[in-house]
Amino acid sequence: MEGVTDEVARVEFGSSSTFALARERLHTVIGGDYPVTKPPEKPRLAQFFNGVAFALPILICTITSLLYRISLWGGDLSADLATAVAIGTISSFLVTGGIIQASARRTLFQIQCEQWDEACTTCYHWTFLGVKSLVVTLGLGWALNQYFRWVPTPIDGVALAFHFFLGLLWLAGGILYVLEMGWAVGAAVLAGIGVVASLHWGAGVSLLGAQLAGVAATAAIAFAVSGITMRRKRKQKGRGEHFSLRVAHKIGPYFLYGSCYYLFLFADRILAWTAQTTTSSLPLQFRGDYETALDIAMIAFIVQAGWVHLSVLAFYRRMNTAQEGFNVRESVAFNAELRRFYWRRAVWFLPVASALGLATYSIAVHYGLLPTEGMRKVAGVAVASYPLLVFGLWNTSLFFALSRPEGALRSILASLVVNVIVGYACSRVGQYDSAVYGFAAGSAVFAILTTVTYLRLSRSLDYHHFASAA
Amino acid sequence: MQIWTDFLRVAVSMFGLFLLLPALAERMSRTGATARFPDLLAVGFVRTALFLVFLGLLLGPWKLYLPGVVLSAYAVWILSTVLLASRNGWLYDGDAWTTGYARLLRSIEQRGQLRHVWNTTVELSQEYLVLTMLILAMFLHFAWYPISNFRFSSAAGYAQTLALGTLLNGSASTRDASVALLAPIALASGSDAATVVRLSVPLLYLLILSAIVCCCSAYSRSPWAAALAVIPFWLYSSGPGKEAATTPDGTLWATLVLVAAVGAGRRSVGTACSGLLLTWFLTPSFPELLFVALASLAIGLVGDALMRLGPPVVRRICVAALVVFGLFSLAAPLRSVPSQGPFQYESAARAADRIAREFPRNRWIVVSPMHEAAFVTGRGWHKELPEFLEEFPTSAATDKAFRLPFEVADTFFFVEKRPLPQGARLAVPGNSSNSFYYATGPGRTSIAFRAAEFIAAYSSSHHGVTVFHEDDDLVVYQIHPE
Repeated sequence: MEGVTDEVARVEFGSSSTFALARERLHTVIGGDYPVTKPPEKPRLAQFFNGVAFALPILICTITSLLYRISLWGGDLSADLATAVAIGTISSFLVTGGIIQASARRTLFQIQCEQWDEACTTCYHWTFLGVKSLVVTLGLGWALNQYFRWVPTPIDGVALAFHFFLGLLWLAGGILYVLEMGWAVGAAVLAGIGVVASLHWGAGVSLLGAQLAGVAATAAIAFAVSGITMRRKRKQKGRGEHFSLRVAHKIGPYFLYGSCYYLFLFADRILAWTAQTTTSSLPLQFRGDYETALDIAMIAFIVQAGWVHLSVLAFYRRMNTAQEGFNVRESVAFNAELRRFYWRRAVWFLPVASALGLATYSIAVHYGLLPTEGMRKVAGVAVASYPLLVFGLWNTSLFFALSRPEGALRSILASLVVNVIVGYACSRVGQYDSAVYGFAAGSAVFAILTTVTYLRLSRSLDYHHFASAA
Repeated sequence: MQIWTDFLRVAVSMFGLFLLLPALAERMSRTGATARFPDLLAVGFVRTALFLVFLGLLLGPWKLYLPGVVLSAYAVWILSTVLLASRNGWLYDGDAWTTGYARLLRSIEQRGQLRHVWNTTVELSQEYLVLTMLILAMFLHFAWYPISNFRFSSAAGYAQTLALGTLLNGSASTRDASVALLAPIALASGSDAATVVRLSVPLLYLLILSAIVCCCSAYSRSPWAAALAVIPFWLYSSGPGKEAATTPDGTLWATLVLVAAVGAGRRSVGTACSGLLLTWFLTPSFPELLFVALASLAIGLVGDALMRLGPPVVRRICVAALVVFGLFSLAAPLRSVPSQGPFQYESAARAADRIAREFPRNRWIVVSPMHEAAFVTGRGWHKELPEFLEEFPTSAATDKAFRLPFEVADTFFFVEKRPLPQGARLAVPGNSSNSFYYATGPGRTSIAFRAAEFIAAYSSSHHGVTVFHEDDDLVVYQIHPE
């Protein structure tokens, strides 16, 4: 169909558009009805749960911790051990976040091309790279702690153990999300919590030891399920995609975005934990009240994040429909139509998300889950900020869908800088819990920058859509 | 072994933060690409020092010169040197990052070029070899006291250590410009305040000597001129009363900065002006050492010019005689440095440092004269001995129900078996109200006696008292309540 415009298709071939002409010609070529059936769409609710599946481990752990006082990490630990677990948790996210993002990008691309053999091998290579990164950072963390003497010896071992096993869990979870098997992550986490409960309550193992065994068991289950599923999907062993400098060039922005995003999420916690530690036994002190308030606010975030997945799918549907509805000379109208769609979703989302945050906050206050004024402040600011963050995430998803990660990367870097500067200033001049203002400022900047970038991009959306498919 | 590890940490941090990183950043700028590397080192050093001092003086009074601010400001400074002055236009060219990233990956692919850089050998002439050995010998002479002693020889050393310790702990401000310069070194090296204050002195002297050599090389290209210049400087700075300098005061920094600026002055008048401005910030009093350094530089250059007039053999004999004289002078023992005091026993300083290293942060308290506070600030708690004995008389310690009012696991109690000899002439840092007890013989003896009396009474009625350290002069008790 090279050189055939809509005009040519109409005048010379009598078809309404190039797409219509292509469909008719294909019909002639294959000598029968071309199956124009689309793959069956999942129900909206299933799509929504796919969107929130990434947060299942945290959600399940928060709920079981609140209800049964047992979880995969945290709980009734001494201040120093809780600090060690917190350090391990954050560092595991920071190390694996970028790798999971990059792995998902490459593997999903091959899955969408229905190259399961290649996808399985690529996913294996990236996961192995993640494991190697965990081992390297384990040694690096130990060496740095020996040099700077941040935490004493038994505590650093706990932090490093959680760093490694939780990192494995996130890597395994990442594979299951790519396979759209979020439910399996939830099941593995529940099984892991079962291991913790049986070891701690049944066999009398210390909570920390039981939790380490639980995290390891969860990671093992998740790896096993993902391995079995992958093995079923592939027909033969593919060559896959090894990590190389060419891949680094393509994937670098996604990798960097993943790392920066997790740093953004945890920056305010790190700032709060390092503020006013003059008299504490460690230079970094876990603040349970700050963490609890953020965990409660995170429930609203998780629900809102489900909307991002739904909206991106809806955007794609709308784009495909619009692509067939407009001819090549109507690119301006095509772009305007998609901009209108974007704004409609935004106008619906922001009030609904704010109301959801307010409801979460009110319920938490009503049931006495936020007993102190500091906790209410942290939870209040966080639920007000999460809609902005989620809105920014939606924009980011659109950038990724259009293969334009630079805008997302620039926005998250700027937001991270704002988050750190505002959070640091507030937590050092005021109380430690004022670090949450940094998160709020960073989220606002993220939402604004990504929106501005998207609006610029949307002026020539037709081109970017075409270029991303090339 | 520990002291050498500490020394290495401080040295790497000081050279990295003040010389290497700023010079590399300058190299990436538009003007730095073609400059000589020693010039870049000087320019980078002067500008970075000026920036940190200015920041410290600006934020210090507002109690905002915090560890995080120091490190972030330093990072921003280095990045801005690269971003603002780079040929690549990182700030205004949207594609600069993309192409820069691609260039980085390509340079990794072309590793052969890197290998070529590493294989480059440095040719050292015989004259420069002698000069290097001379400077190393001078450096070891300066390093002797700080490496073999933990205590300070002046009240300023304790005051500076206390200021740096509280600053690192994120709880105080500073108006001392040299403390503002030491803070990044302490943060990057992970060393405590006392170690950084003590060990940075010989490193600064080494830098000054190197700067003098670089200046001479820039102006005369003769190693003999450099030798002529460093010997008078060394003779002055290791003369009577200066053998055991343990504090990197403003004069030392200012000397280094201006000598570096003089060397770079051939290339940049702005750098020399920055050096002068920084000297003014750093030295409120007359910068004696600075004039000595500049005079030494002049002596070296003039002497070299005069010797050029005579036959080369005479010239070589003259300089060789000077070098031999310098080396012999180095071997002279530091006769005037006392083995103990003047503010504390060496073993007291070492014991306080050992406690801070071996026990968990903030879970112990040292009860001792105030000078040990410099070694524990930011790492644990300290209670002055006279105040403690005022609050808790010996009669209270005999009571079995008596409990020490500290919420810590361990209490360390310092008792001088032989009170440190004192003359009432010594200044006491921190405007302490207990000057009588620290700076006079009778006061020191009385407080040592009362301390011994208290611990004897306490240990007779309580369990958990053990000896942590003991020698001929001092005993340190460890109280670990059951």
